[in-house]
Amino acid sequence: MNTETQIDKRLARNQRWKARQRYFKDSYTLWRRNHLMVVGTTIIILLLLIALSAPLLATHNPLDQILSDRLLPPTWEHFFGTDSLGRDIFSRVVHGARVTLTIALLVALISTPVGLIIGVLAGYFGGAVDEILMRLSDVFLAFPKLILAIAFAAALGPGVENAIIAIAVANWPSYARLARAETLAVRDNDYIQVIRSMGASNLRIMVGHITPMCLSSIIVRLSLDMGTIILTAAGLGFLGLGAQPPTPEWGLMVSDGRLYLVDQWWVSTLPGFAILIVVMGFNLMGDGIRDILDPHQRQS
Amino acid sequence: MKTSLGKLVAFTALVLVLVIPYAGAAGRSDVLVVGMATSDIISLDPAKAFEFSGVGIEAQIYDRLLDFPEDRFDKPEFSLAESFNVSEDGKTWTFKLREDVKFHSGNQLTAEDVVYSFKRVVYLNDQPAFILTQFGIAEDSIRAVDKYTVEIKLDNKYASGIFFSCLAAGVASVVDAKVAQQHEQKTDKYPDGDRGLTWLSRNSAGSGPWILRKWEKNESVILDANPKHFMHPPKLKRVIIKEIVEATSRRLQVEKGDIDIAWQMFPDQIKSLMKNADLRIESSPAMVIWYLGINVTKGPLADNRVRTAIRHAIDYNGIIDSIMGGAASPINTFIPEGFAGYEDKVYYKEDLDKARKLMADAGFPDGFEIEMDHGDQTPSPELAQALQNSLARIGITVKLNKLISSQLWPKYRAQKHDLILARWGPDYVDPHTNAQPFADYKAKVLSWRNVYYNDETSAMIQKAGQEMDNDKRIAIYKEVNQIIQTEGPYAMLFQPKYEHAVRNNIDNFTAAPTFDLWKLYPITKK
Amino acid sequence: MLQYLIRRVVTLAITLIGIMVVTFFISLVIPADPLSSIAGPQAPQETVDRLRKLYGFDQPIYIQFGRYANRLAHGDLGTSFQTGRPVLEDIAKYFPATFELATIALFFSIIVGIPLGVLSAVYRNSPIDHFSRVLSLIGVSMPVFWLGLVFLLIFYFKLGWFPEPGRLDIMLIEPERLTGMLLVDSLIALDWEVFFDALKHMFLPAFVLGLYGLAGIARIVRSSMLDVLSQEYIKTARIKGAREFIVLTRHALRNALIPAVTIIGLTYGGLLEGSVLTETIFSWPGLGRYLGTAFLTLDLNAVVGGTMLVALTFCLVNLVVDLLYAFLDPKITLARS
Repeated sequence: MNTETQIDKRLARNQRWKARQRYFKDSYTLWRRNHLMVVGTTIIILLLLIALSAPLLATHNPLDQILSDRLLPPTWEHFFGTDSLGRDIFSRVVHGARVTLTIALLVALISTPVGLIIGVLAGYFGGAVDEILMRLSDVFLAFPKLILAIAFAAALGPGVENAIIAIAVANWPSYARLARAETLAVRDNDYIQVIRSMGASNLRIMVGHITPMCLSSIIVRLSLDMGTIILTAAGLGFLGLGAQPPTPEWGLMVSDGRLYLVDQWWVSTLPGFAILIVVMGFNLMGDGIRDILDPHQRQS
Repeated sequence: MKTSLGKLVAFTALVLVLVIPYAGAAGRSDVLVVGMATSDIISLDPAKAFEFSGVGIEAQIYDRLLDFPEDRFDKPEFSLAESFNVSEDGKTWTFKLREDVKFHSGNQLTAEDVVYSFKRVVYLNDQPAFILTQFGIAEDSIRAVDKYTVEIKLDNKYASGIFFSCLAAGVASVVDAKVAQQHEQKTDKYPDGDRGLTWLSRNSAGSGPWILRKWEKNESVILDANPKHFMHPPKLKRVIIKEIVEATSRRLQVEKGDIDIAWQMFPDQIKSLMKNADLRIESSPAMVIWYLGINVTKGPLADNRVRTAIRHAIDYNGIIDSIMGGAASPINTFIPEGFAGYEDKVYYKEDLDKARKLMADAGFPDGFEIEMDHGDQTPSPELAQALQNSLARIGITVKLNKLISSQLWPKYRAQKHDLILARWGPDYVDPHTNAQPFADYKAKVLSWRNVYYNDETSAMIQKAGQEMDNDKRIAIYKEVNQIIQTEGPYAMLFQPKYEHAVRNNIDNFTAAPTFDLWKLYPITKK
Repeated sequence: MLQYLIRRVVTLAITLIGIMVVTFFISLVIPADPLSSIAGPQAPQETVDRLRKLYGFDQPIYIQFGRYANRLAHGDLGTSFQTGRPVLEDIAKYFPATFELATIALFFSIIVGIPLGVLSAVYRNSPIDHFSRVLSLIGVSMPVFWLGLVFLLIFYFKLGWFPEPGRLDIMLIEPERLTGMLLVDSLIALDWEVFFDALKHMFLPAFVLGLYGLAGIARIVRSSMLDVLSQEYIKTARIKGAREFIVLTRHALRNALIPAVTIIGLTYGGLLEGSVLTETIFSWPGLGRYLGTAFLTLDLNAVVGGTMLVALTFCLVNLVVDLLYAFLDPKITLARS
């Protein structure tokens, strides 16, 4: 009896392990099959590497101004040329990768938990709680995102930190809605009822059993949103409400360079390309992640 | 049938759009198109307008008792007034008006209109009102002696140069009383009637060389010529001042010929514009001073040796050559070139050894950390970064705060800054408009904001304000300047030049040191 | 149906009140002083204090909020500091320009986005699919402000294919203002010169703005097309010998477009807000730019009024989309939770 259960357990563990292996293997195959996603992932990995090794890659100090070397075209000395204060644009773009990644990651780290908590609470308790929380999220959803971000940036003062908060504030409602929908779908499932009858507390059910069910759709959504987050941050930078000089933020660099667009195209154009490529990378990857996590796609 | 007709229309439209090449509209020879960043306009009413562009446009629409000619700005000349008298005590001024002036409405301009206009400014008491009320002008201190004579009583004796310059300022414009009264309405702010303020924000009731046809924010201001003007009937039929905020866009459009004048080009653009044979660059020193304001209550900044060290640490020439592209000159006085009293004496040059020694003497051989506030518009951010670099060389670590104007100025007014990068432009055309804010803390402007309470310079400025002898008055300013330069709360950076790109078919264009001194009436177009 | 509609309208009202409260509190916590931007940098402190009184900013917060709510309840959005006009009039002036631009942009997104999505689905995983996906991805990944600048430089300045930024040639006289939309007004007035000039001015900004919507539409059409194409009735139609083109357009596309409606609605809302940046670059006298400057100069009445309007439009578009969706697809019941 005793050994039998042990064997059963071992068998079950073995099977679970195999299933997980198969899942990852399938995922890998799906990933391999999706060329665009390979491209996207590569871009993001490169971005990560660049951000990590920025000080090594940069040929100059991104903040060093050499006024006599302003607006130089791209050469071997300055790969991307120099800007209006004689700073090396290549080094600024490389360091800008850090700023961009920080913004994107922090926004994700702030807005998803907030959205998740609110969505799960609303879905789980329903009734008045649901009504209040969802009306609140309606208010923030109805605000145009960029305008809400501008409002918060104006309220808190321009700066990277405040841009992050502003974008996070604009973003959480969509995660809340998603989490709420997922919660509604699992809340009345039999197994949740069983767990409840075994005496689990509401908190425990929400944290241990409902939240994990919401995660995959939120991750899909988040990976699709990454590009938009970066674009909004760049837009704020462009309007002067995001990162502040001398921070090498890409949107800000495009904005600073627009005075020189006609004669010194590189000042504005190259950071613009950087934004384009990274946002594309995130979008390609997001598309791919959706395809992989979507059970519909897995079968075909 | 119905759908095929729709298709046909759509197809024709498409073909037309694609086939007709873009061509500038014809009939432009009588019309001047100016591209300008006019987004600051909030009203075109003389009693309210106080922004660069608002005053500049309003000055073309209205006439004043005195006015400056198009090319000289040292003292105003007669315009609506043809003579004046002053009482023995210097307090009562009488002006005789021309009798041949008609408003755009056809009404005769009389002393009653002048009285109405001045009382209106005092009553509405909006931003520019102080230019008149600083002389103690109140609603009961002005009256019409007869149809063409006006008497103004002041509360004190004032230097005539200052008073006359203020009478030539936009706020002293004469408004058509009958028209303004027709548009009187009660508003929240003025429950007793707004004297036509709401209406005059967007319409005009003047007598000047130009008639306001339309102002649309974010689009344009359109002015039509007043061919019956008593002195300066315009040569062109119409002027369109197109709002183009982006300097790059102004530049592209002037090179393409879509606009005739691109107002205020940046130095880097000038270099490439010079290569374009279709246009020329017209410039004039701007009556603006860029300076670094130093709050004398903030730690080390209280020590004048530190302030002097800062003044010696700045790479003036580098800033002027690189960031301003040479379109500026160093300045060591609060009186800009173009005003009486300007001196080109140099107090400060970049001298790092001297600066470091001063820092060491003051007890900061290793420097210190400090914050600098600055605006968000070009060239402020660039200048601030260059100053940051300059000061780093003597060990001062500067943290920059880029603020939008609605955050920058309250902070400055509240004396909460350490260092601030700012500029000052005159409110009227007399050196007093600069001497007073920079040196008299009691005026509660720049000297006060930087907490530099110097009773000596304050008293001297007040004395100058009542000095009838112009030469003596200027001498006082020079004396005050010496004190301010050596121990005051500023590092004077430079005086910029206004540079405009003008297409070659535009003649008789005279660049002016401010927009409101720029006259549109002489301009011709080939 | 009616019950659903009532519920939606009530929700809408609550949302608007929420927006009103949030906007007011945002305006309160802004550390900047709106008066300084009214008074300008050079005005002495006395002027600022006097203006503060004049504009009622010296009152306690609850009184300010009461006044504010009272005004809004009466449909009075107050006067804008920057134009000196009632905000409602400003909005009536600027909104049609944005609306016109966003509509043309959306039109462009739809006529390009749907074929792209269909092609992608039909030739799934072929080079055509990859090409159209990459193309639409570029559209959604492009920073609008950057693309706008580059396009102006190339197509206006270097090539001269399109006119200068702005809505109309400065020498042309606008037709009588009926709708505020130049294309419509000039058509009514049969003023072809203005119509074509306005159309040309519209091209670049609408294209730049439209790229954003294109990607979303192409994406959703692709995936719903894929869904539909695997359905039984499509196979049946094919077996019956229907021509492939007919199968695709008559049977597949018609059903695949239903989910696209939602996205199109959302895109429309997005376009209205995307106009802040596009309008700045293209000197477009629309609501986006009006709102942008209102924020920078802290023109609070304009900020509140403009934001409320954009939010209201967004909610209305959503409502219409939901109703349309229910109308198109009878399988969906409105009584969802």
